[in-house]
Amino acid sequence: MPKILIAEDELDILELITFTLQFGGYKVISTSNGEDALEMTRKEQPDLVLLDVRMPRMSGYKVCTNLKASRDTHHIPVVFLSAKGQEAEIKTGFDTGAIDYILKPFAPDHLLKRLEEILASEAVKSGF
Amino acid sequence: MIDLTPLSFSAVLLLLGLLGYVLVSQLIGFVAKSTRKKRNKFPPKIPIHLPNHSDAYFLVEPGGIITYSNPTVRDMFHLNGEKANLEVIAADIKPNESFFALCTREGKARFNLGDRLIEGKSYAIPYNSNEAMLVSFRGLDFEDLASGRTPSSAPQLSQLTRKKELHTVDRDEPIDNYFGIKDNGHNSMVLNQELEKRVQDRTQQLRLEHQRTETLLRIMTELSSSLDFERILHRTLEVLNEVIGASHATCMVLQPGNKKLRHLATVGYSNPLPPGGMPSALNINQGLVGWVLSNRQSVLIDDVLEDNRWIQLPNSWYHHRSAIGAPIIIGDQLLGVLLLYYPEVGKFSEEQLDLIQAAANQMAVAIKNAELYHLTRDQKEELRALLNNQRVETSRSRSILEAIADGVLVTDQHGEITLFNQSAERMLELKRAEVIGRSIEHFSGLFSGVALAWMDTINTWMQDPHSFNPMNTFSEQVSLDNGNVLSVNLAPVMNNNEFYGTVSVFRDITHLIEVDRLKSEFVATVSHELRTPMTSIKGYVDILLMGVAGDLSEQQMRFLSVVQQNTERLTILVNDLLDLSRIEAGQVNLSFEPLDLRELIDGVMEEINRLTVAENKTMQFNIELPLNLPRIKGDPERIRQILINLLGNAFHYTPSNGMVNLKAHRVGEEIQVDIKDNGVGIPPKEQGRIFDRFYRGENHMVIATAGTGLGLSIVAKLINMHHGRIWVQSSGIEGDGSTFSFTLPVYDFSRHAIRMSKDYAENTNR
Repeated sequence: MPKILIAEDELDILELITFTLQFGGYKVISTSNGEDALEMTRKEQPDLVLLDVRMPRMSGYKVCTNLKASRDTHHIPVVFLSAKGQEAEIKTGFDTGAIDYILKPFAPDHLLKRLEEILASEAVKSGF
Repeated sequence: MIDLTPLSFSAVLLLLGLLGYVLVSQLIGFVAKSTRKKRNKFPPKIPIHLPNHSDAYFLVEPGGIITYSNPTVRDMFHLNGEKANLEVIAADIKPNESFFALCTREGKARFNLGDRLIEGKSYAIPYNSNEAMLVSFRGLDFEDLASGRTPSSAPQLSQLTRKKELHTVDRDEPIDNYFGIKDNGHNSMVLNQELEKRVQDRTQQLRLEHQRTETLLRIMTELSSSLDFERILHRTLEVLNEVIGASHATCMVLQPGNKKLRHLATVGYSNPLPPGGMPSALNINQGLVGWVLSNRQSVLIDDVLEDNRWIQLPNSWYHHRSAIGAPIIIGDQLLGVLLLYYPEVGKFSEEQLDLIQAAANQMAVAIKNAELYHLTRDQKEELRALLNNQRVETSRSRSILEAIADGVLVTDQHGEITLFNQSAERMLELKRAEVIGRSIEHFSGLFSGVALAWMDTINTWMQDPHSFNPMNTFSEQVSLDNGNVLSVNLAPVMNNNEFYGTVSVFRDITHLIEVDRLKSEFVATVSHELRTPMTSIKGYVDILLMGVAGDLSEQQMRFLSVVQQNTERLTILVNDLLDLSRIEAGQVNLSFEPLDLRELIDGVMEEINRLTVAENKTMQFNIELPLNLPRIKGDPERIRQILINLLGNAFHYTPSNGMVNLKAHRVGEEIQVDIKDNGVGIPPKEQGRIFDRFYRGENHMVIATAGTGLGLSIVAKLINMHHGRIWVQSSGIEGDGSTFSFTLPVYDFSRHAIRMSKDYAENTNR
């Protein structure tokens, strides 16, 4: 069962994503700030990190940058799930090393489908 | 002061002209005299030396006194060896009135010597402003007499006291040398006549010359006392009149165009001329005036009534009989006519005609000079006015440049700053006094980045004006070190390929940039803040509808569907708002590429078909594209957006089982796409507003359809960004539908190929 870390400061949305992912069959760990997300990713080594951009203590961009900069975590795919929809913001997200940028509001089934695709392609990459 | 100047000028010119004339005429006289003198020493100067000759000569003054004699006379009167007393001779000759009368009338001198009648020749010669008689007779006559018997008068002669001495002259000098004529010996009657005539002519000539010189000198004196040009002419006429003795005189001058004459000065007429003169009643080809003008010569008429050139004016008070007319002419230019009249017949002489022509010539010089002066003065005035106008114009333009809110910086062809207005001072934080007259190079150091590029461009153009390319103007946003942002437009000032310098116009757009930034920030924040709650609404509703959170009744499902649809609508609204804001802020950059319209439409139709399925509404779509349709130039995502929007509208605003036709064809360098439906149509009164933001039609189908009123506004803006046009045609009648048409440019491969190869060349060179 793939493990996904969710970092989301809006608790309603955190619960929505958690529910959706659990429904999709994933093991979910979550946090509501950037610093914890960074720390937990190192410790827990999830299969995928789903990041909000605007979070307390550390922005999603910075978390991703740090994850990609660290040998322990740079292999873990990062997907942004953000309400920030401007071109420049999306571009920044990809620039930090994210594999996808999903715009809020999202359709739960579309999110599941997308994550499934990403994890499948990651599995091909890592030789499973 | 200005008014007096030309007049005094004319006066001086006329004065100089007259003085010149007198000097020249005297000089000519002198040269002529000296050449004559060299040849034959004629005329004799007083005191005279009468030569030794076989003929006897003596001079008799008007009072009858004999003043000079030659030795032959002394021989005749037996005064040999002694200084003769001329009164002795006079007593014998008795030069009384009848003697003089004979001399004058017949050129003969007749007197008795003893009982013999002696007859000789006499010549009138000028002597002390009067005439004296030079008397000559042949010595032979006297010899005859002397050999016969002694004259009875001889003792008488010797008895008289001598009061004056005879002057002797050199015996060697022959008389013919002295008078310049051939001596035919004793038979010299012809010679004497000729001599006599010459002496007379010369006397008259000298008298006239004297008179003429004196007259012209008087004219000159008169003229030097006046400053008024017309008065100068008037005084000239007065002096002439006085000398000539005319009763009336007029100076007529040709008017510009040489069509009319004008009396500029008159003398003797009862009414004085108004300032500026008076037009002549005669045309330039009429009468005496006409004759003088067309023949360009002076004329003397003894009686005008006998002359067919004369035209008697019907209402004239004057009864002219004698007339003199002379053309006022300089070089070959005819300026006017000078006319003098007298009410009696035969008043004027040929000699006077000469004098009048001389005066007319002087007038011509004066008139010409005055004309030239006026011309020069007028031209000066015109130039002054022109310069003044230009100065006013220049200072006005300058004031405008100084006053406008935009900064203006002008450099000349050497890169020196010649204009730096107040706004420029404020924006660049430089004092005008520090920059005017200095080279732009001095200020390059104050700038960096784009601002430096601005200064560098000026320098480049200055060094090579032909490096300027109209496609390559400098139009940039320049950030200054103080944080201000300027929008700079720089252009060279060229005139007929000549480089005059540069002009930079710049505007402080710092606050505009700030406003733009705030706007973007606001849009970003708002969209984020809107999306966050919508994420929860949409997410939970979707999950509920998915049945993941438990089974729902049919009614619950229906209600939740309404929530879902409206959430969708809200999402579209937020996205459209964001899109429009970004387009309007110029934040959307298009990446143009050659696009196959058919491929794009196929992709779009897939999405439209999903829509028809989702909405369970059947619609027939007919796509007609010519096979050879060229590729268009556009941004694929944006063209997709345009097509989805327009086809989506056609689908939504056409009732079920309707028909939507898409056709495309080439029009010049554009592709025109027409999307026609048979839906509700758009009433003409709404057609002007449908591309406005938030405008939605009032039709029931429009109201029933989820929409933001932003779609067509975005489409229009995107087409505009592609340099295309969009318009709509609709009768507004339901069922007739509407046709949306737009154009997009055809992709010009040749142009882009060149640019691409150029880019390639540039890249490989680096």
